[in-house]
Amino acid sequence: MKELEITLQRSESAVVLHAVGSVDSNTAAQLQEPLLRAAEAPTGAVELDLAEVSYMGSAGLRVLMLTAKALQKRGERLRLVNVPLHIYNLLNLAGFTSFIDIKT
Amino acid sequence: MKIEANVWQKVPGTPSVEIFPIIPKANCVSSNCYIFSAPDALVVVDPGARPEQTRQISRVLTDALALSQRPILVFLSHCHQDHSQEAGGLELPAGIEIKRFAHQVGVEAMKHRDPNLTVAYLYPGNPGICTARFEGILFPSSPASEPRALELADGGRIELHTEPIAMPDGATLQRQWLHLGDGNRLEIYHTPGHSPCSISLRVGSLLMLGDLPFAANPGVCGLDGWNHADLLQTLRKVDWLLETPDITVCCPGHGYCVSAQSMREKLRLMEAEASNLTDVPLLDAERISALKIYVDELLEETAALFTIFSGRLYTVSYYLSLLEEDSAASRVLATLDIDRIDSILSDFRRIAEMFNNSAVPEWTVVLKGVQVARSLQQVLSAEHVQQLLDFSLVDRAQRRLEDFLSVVRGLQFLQTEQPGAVNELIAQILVRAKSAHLGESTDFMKAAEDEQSFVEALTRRLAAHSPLRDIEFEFAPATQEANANIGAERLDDILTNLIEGMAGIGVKHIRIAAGVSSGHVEIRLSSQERMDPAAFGKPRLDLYHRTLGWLGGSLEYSQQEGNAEFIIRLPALESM
Repeated sequence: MKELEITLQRSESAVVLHAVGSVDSNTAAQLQEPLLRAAEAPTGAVELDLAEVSYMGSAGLRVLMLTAKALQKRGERLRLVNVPLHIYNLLNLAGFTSFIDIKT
Repeated sequence: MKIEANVWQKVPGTPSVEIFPIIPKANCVSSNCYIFSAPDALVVVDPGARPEQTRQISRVLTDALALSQRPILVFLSHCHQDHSQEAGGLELPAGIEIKRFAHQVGVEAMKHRDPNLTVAYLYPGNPGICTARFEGILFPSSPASEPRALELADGGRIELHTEPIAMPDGATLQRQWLHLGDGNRLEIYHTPGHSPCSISLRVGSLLMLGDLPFAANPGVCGLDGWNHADLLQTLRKVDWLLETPDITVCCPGHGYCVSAQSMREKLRLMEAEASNLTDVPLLDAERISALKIYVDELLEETAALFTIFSGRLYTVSYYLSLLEEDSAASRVLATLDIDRIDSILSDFRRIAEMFNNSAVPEWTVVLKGVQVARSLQQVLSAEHVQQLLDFSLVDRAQRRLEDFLSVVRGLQFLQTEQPGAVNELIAQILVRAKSAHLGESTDFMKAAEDEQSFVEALTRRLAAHSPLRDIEFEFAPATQEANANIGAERLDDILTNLIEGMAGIGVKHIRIAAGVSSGHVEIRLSSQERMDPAAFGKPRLDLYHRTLGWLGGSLEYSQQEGNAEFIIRLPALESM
């Protein structure tokens, strides 16, 4: 099973996380911890780069929803960038494009 | 009585026999093993195929021999590799004699290294077929009228008695038995169907059935040597055996022992299922390889459908939270056991990847696929799931899983449906797409009078979100009657999945055109916006192509300047 690796870049105005691998029930916690920490910080945009994510299951969607909720409390939206088309397709069909900014 | 693994315990219904069951996690690589300690012998039923299990059996036997020296009698419930491979591998103290017993057909198969009857062909890397000598030939084609005796080195004898049972319905249950000392005995019944060499063994109130309880399972029925008529007869005979109060516990070749009553119920259900399996094709290596590809495709399809399900529930819960309806948000998430589904699919993905790294046999992947499909069917059948989730989506997932199980069994699922009248079908899909967000408006307004009803109606409304609502459709129906020789429901599934997939990548305008030409119905889904087929996932498109291909149809994708389209071709029916 391809594991998940998360790297983090921090600037003054944003935190950008890069994920590499599969986000499923075995690996989602690795994404949840840094993503929620960034979302629960008092300020700063949160961006997740999915260019190298091959699979995202419902456990991954749950992490995105929790992050979006945390960011919504301070009036921000989660930004997903470089989303592979097949993942974009699922996120869109699940209705996530209505509360997360998603770019392919 | 509960039979526990890895511990000695008394065998019910015997004066002095004890059993030590070894029950690994159920898999197709190695079977359970049951060890019995009787005054005159130690009996091993199905050593299995894992060297570590063989070492455990050897340790248990060595300890038992330290208390009392006895010969070891090894029996095979049948000659399949996962039960027999290690039959010659036991390591015992010097001077201990082993006699091995199996049905004559199984003994011959192992002797001639038959990869088919031993199902060695299912396992990669040409695993060794058991070469040990089998002195005890059970149910030989020319049965001995006198007890057959095996001489032991210490001058003792093991007498194998043949004593068929005349059943009340006129059938005969072939039986042999031998003494285990102190009034204990081991009975052996010929129970073919799963394999011609299948036997069941009884000690006291305990009956070991080998793989009979799985013989009608998808991925098991159709293995070399499987026989439908024999299986049905055997099921009736075993049902009769279990009718007597003498047998209280049944132990299968894989998984835990259960009460005789629950085994009887299981076998009766299985008999009903098995009665339809009249034309099951041989489950040979070629068919297993094809099924493995189908399993991969199914994995992608079900993972996508379930991710959409759970994603929609998360979306609903997100909006309910925003509206400060936190308890309704939690209830929505409890509708579907998302974590369980995700964990089932993740495990399946891991097995499929292990196969791709040659760590597990193809057959394991197919059987795992069957297990996953059955678990997911169970999850989807819950009433509250069907009430909340998009019914069409749930239905599509259910059919996909059912088709998979049928195909593994070798059944022709598509011919059981009504042919599809294409114009009407497409019109229905378009009505459904447009009505998805309009439904229940009146109910919604009525519900506003009561707070709880309002929250429930709001939840349903949020859950009814359809990605198709913003799509502009243009439909050019076939100008003549267009009846496709494919089940209407499957055609509906494929069309809906493609349309949803197009909506998912942001296509806003879809043109659907139907037509008939040279014996084929053609349906074109096109868009002037760019579509990348990668967005659908190749295995999913392959799955639709395969499903259509089974009935002489096809799915093509073409992208020409300014126009991208899917072309579905189906054999036409002359008249309905």
